[in-house]
Formats: sequence, structure tokens, C-alpha cells
Amino acid sequence: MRKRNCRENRGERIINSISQNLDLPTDTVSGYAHIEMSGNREVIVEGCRGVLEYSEKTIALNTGKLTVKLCGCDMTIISMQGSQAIIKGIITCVEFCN
Amino acid sequence: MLFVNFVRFILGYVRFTARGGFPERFLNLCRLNKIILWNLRNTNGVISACTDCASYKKIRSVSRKSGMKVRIKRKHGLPFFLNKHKRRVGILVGGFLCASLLLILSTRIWSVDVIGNNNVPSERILGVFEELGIRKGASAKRTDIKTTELAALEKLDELSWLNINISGSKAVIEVREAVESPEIENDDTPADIVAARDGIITIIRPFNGTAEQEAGNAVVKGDLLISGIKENGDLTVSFCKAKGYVVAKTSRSMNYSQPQKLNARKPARIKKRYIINFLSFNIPLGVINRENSSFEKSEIVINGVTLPFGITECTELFFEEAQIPLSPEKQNAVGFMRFADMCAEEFRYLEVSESKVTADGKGGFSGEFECLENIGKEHPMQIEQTKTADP
Repeated sequence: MRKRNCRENRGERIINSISQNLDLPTDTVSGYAHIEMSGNREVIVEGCRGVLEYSEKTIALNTGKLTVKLCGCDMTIISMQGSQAIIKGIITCVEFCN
Repeated sequence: MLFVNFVRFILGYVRFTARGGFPERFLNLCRLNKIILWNLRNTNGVISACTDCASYKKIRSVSRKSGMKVRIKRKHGLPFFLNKHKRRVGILVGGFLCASLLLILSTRIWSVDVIGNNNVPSERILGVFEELGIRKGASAKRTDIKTTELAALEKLDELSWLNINISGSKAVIEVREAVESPEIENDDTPADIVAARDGIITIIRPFNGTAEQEAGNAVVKGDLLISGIKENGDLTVSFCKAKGYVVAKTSRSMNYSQPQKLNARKPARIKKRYIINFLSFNIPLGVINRENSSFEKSEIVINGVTLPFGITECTELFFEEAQIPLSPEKQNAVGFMRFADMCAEEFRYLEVSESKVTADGKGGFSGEFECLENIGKEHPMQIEQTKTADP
């Protein structure tokens, strides 16, 4: 198990170093979600693979490698098309968990 | 976002609610089935969202799998509106007519205005341009402006320059008036200047010819004032046309008596008719007598743009002859007004130095006036040419 984690970290490191050297955006190469925030009112998450939790106060999104959890109030998913989700509301906290 | 909303309105969409079951699973299944959702809201476990018509048909299987009950709250958009009103053919016909009217009218001239003219009436300029094709309802794009300008200038001699500006559906004709050259008098027929009235001369100024009178002389009508015979340096004489002015003090008397009954035309009946104007078409509503009618055209102007619709009010007045009895005060007042009008007309080109007006109290007025006026009048000379025998 440890060996496998080590291999994964090594692969990630290689990809990171290549993307850094070639000036490529990290999210497109390494498979992370691309998140854009407009103040604390709107969040655009690209690379969303599913909704894990949805309520007025919390929205949790599966982005593959990470789970993005947005906390706040009056949270609304304005649109969900393909792998893009636009969330509006008063965002007080953004959490990332593996 | 506005454009997106417009497209959504054109294609139609539904707002629905989904309750019970697993909301997250429902959303994930929607995403997997490529069901587009927007304006998602979760209030106390009830999801409300919008989706397009085609996606809503797929949503039933998704809701079954996630254990949610879906219900339509409201239908929005053009397809639902048309479906609701499909039996009302009038709305569709009206919409079609409105769209076609807008398309046709946007290529036409709605109003023609003339600016820059003072002496030449606008009606004359508009009449010429109407003959040449620039009128209400004419096509704005098909008009050959250069040719029309040249043709109009040929027809309108009173103008020195003109220009047609067509912006949108408004045509403005800008003109400059020509300055008329003064007429040069070439009449050299020998003539004298004689007195037109009796009077005492105060000023005599001969420009051409010989003065026969002096200031202070009393003259009667027909007396010679400036002679057309000039004596040359070599003691010979020559004939010319006498020119000059002779100001004399004259006396005039005026009388007016106002009868007790006033003859007047009294309006007996007013008949109103209307004409609907649309571009160059006039649709009369009823029979209109154009000879005795006065016309008042009203147009609709919005933000300086004259619309192609308007209405003309035709008022036809029927008069009858009437004799209105006057009270003594009114008789005096009317008499004085008529007397004053007569005096103003008579003394338009004279200077009144002294006046004495008397009233008889029954509408009669008489006045004695001393005036200063030019009494000179041209009188052609009678010249006979006789043949002289050769020596």
C-alpha cells in the first residue's frame, strides 16, 4: 500500500515538473478541478464529477482527486451542464478533502 | 445572460419541484443523462429547478431511480404560449401583419420636411419633389438623389442650391434661395411730372429734368412740377424722362356713417369630417366638400420622428346673411372702428401733420386731415415730329 502511494506521488511529481517546465496549466494536466470565485458570492467549478451533498447551507462536489465542500447560506446551483457547475450564495468557507 | 434567457424563452422551459428520495443522486443522474438544470434551489429537502422541454421527458426515469417525486410548477416560453393561444388565429394574423408592416415601412419615407426657405413656399417645393418621386411612401433606397436634386433645381428657378438628406425614414430638403437681380429701367420716353392733387409745395427734388415750381408755391391738380425739357449748354433743348419727388401739404376729408343695423355673415352650421392619412394615401370618412372647407392636419411625432399616420380635420362652415341691430354704444364703437380702418388704409403712405375728427353720436364720424405727401405724377409728353424741308 505504501509502495503504491509512493508510486502515485512519484508520478504526480513528474507530471507537475513537466507542466511547470512547459508552462502548462496544472489543472488540465494533473486532473484537478478548475475553480473560479467571484468574491464570496459565486463559484464556478469545472471538472465536477458529481454532487455529494446538497442543502441550503452546504454543497459538496466530487472533482475526482479532491472533494470541494462549500459552506454558507442561500446556496443555489445556478447551472449544471456537463462537468461545469455554477454555485451562487453567500459562501463562508471552502474545504478540500481527499 | 440576457441572450441565454431569450433563447430559453424561445425554446420553452419548465420549472419543476422534486421531493422525497435522494436529491444528490437525482442531481448526479441528471448530469449523467445530460439533463441541463438551472436555478437549482434546495429548500427543506425540496428541490426546485428549471429544465428545457426535451430534458423534462427524460427526467421521469431519473426521478424513479432516485426515489423522487417530480411535479411541474409552471411552464414558460413561446411554445407553451402558442399552444395556449393556437385557437386564436387573430393574434397570429395580427402579429404577422405587424411584422410585415414594420418591414415594409422601414424602407419607406415617412415625412418630407423643407428647411432654409423664407420666400418660396414649402408647398411649392414639396409639389416639385412629389412630381420627381420624393414623397411620403416612396422607397428611400430606390431614390436617385443626385438626379432628383438636379431636376428640382431646373424646375425651381427661385432656388440657388438644394440638398436632399434621407436619414432612416425622414427626408429633409435643405434649400438656399436665389437673390433676384434688380430690374433696370430702360424706359426713356420723354415725360413730365405733374401734380396729382392740390396743395402747397414744401420740398421739390428734381433728379432728372427742370424744376418748374419752388417750395411754397400753391399748385392745383395737373400743374407742371418737373419738366422733361432740358436746356443744354449750347442753348439747344433735349427731351428726357423727368424724375424726382415733390412733397406738398394737402388737405383731405373722410366721412363714415354706421347704420343702426349691421350687415354680417353669421355662421349657421358647422360640419366636421375627418380624413385618415397614411403615407401618401388619404382615406376620407364621409363626403367632403373641398371648396368651402378648412383643413387642419395633425401628425403624430415621437422623439422628433413624424409617424406615417395622421388625421386631417375638415371643417365646413355654412354662413347666412344677417342684420344685427346695434345699441347706440355699439353703433358708435363699430362706426369708429370702421372709420379708423378707412383712415389707416387711406393714409398708409402719407404723413398726417394735423387732424380734426368729429362724431355725431349716432355712429357718424368725419375728419379733416392735413397731410404731407408726394404729389408728383408721371405724365407722358405729346411730341410730334415734323419734317423740315432741306435747304
